[in-house]
Amino acid sequence: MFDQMMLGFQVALTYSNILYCAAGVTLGTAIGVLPGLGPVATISLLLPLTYSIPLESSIILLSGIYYGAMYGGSTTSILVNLPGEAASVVTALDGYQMAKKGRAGVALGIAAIGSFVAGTVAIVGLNLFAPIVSRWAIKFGPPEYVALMVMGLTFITYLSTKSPLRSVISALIGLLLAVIGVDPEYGGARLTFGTDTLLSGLDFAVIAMGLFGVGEVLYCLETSGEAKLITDKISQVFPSRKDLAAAAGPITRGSVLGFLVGLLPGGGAVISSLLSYAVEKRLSKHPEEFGQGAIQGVAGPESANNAAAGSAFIPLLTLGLPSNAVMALMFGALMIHGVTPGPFLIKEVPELFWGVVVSMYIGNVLLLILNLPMIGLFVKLLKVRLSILSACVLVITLIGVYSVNNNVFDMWVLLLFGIVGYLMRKFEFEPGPLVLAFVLGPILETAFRQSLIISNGNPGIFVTRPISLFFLCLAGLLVASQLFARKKKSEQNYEA
Amino acid sequence: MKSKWVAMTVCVLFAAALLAGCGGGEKAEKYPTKPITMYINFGAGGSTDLSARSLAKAAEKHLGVSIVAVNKPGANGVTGVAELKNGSKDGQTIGVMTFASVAIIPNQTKVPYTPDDFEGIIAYGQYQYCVAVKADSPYKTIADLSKAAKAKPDGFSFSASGYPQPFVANRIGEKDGAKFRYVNFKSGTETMTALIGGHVDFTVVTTGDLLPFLKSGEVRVLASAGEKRMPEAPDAPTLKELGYDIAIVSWLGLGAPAGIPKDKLNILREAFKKAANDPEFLNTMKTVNLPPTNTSGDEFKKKLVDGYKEIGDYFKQIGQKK
Repeated sequence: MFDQMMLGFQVALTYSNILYCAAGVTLGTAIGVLPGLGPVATISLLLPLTYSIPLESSIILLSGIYYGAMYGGSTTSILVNLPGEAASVVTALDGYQMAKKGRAGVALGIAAIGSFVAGTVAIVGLNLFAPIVSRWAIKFGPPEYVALMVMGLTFITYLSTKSPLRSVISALIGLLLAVIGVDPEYGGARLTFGTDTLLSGLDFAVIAMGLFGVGEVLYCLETSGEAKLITDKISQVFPSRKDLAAAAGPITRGSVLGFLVGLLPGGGAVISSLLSYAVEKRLSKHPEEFGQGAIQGVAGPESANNAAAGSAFIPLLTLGLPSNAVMALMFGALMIHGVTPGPFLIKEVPELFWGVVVSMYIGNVLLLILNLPMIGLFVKLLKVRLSILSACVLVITLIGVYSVNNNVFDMWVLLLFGIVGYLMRKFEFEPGPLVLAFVLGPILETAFRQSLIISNGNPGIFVTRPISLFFLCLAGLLVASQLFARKKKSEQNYEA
Repeated sequence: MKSKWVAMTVCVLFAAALLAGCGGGEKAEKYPTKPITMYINFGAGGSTDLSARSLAKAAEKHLGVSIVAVNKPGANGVTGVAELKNGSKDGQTIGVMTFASVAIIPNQTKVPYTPDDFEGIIAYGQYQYCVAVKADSPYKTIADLSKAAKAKPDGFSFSASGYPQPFVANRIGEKDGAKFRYVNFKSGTETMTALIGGHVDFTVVTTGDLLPFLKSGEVRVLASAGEKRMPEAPDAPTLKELGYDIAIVSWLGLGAPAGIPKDKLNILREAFKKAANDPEFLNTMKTVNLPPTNTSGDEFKKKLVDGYKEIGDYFKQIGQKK
């Protein structure tokens, strides 16, 4: 182990590789902050450039972009309620509320510290357990995914501040929107209204930016007479000792959860952030604070999605199985250089594996150094007049959405969802459950249909497999406990 | 005053030069003079993307203009091909066409094109398929597999990532009277994950997706589904040798929207024909485990048109229509 780490340091500590690492995390932070152009788009743009640089350097650069983007992704969620990727939707819930209360700096600080701790936990995990835990991930077949997704969807009700019923309705709309496009099993067109443009379905970034970003802008227009700024009081910029104490538990739990769930292909980061939010809300003595700016609601999920970003590398590097779109691009980058990712990668190119692992340690420290001083600057953004900030958000989201697929149609969809987002806010529906269900829906559907084909139509497959049964029981318990809690509450109200 | 005159003269001269330039271009019918756009119907980093980019890079040398690759992934390759159909017919737009997206999927679902909407430029790659099980599976031959599947009322499940793969299992099942259930996965790697994870009984997969796991000893090839045995698994017979009337290959190539002028099409065909012999391109094909081919545009189109009809008839026969 020691020799291997030394080999890693030899690779990662060359001047050029430190530079690639720094360039990667800086670029990653930037695209994470800007909505729209996410890590997938950026890495696919940069991929052809990596033809000409050495293998280790290109993977160090690309992975820097990836975890840098995860790091930066929380910034816009917190400041302007604009989650750039699915994993930071949950962060926006309490993060934006904190910003509204003048605690944007605290939220950003906690997100940065949480990300750093979680990133480091994931790297240590990758370092120590990569070969062991990778076997665990492939135990998850279609039925296990169904159970995991069902559990994830029940967690969505935890996101609600007011009525779980509204969350359920929101989530159901999200599931319905996810159905648009080509049927994953038989290839038929669904809900496309005879157009070709809808064949590929709707894009997550478009819906999220419409509902959150444009929706928020429209909502602010209505109230702009009264409030010129999102907030004029910024009480403190950095987290206090009390904040840190409150966040320590959520960060630790979020890191471990994120690491484990991140190993699973597809939706690992999203599920882990949901899971962490639900756990923190459950453990909290003041669950009513969640959704109103609870620091635990930022610390936990943000740590979880960063840890998941790190552990997503494990299935790729140890089994050759990419677990999300970014990992699929990494797979391509490796192939460009003549390395086929697979079970032998660590043995065949140890300098690559250990070099990248060590560069991640360096990258994480760089990110912290890069991000903490920026917080003061970002927070000042909130002092910009709302009319100007809103216009900027609108333009940036329009450009961002166009950049995803180079498709003008997406811009119309963005505006449409902006109006939907405005109406939802008006009628007190939350957009979070909708977009999360939209992300989880296709995974659930595909896995559900695959499972039933495997079992030849027998639904027993979901309860006869232990892992799947476990998750389903957990989901059931969750629903039962919530119903019970509500009943108790209403009885209490009745007595009073 | 004087400077204004100078400026005006310069402007007039500039405009005249520009117009003259345009006129000249039209008369000489020089092609290509502008960068050509190439749509890739799968995402960046996959074998389709990497191979197409590499071929384009080699062709740039012969065409003298750059080829701008634009990924248009989605719907199993349909999105990119639909985009190609709507592209300009003056030779400025070309695109990747895969056998499945042009010849198979249009038989299953409504798509805005048929193979007749395109001209072939070149077919440069062939997907080959094989039947494989996990290394610790008790089945050593196709006969073992069929026998065991027959003994179970539900039969066996297999993983594959879209047509034509399931044809292979169907044909074996028809002959041996076994029931095989097709579990569809989005990509070759997911297909392999399902097999290695033990979630399906066997797989029909492209040799490219299988090879890393064959090297690591985690899978066993029962038969090659192509015309020839696999060089990496020489002991596994072809299905034809075993008496099953099936041998499939799937094609990967470039095309242009129908209506492209014949002379421009020929320039493209010539350039890509030379590019397909480029050592760097061949090296990329080796890395992504895609057997290369240098098949003419006409033949490629014929394969697509014939395949479209054949498979349409097959779906009608088994009662699965769009």
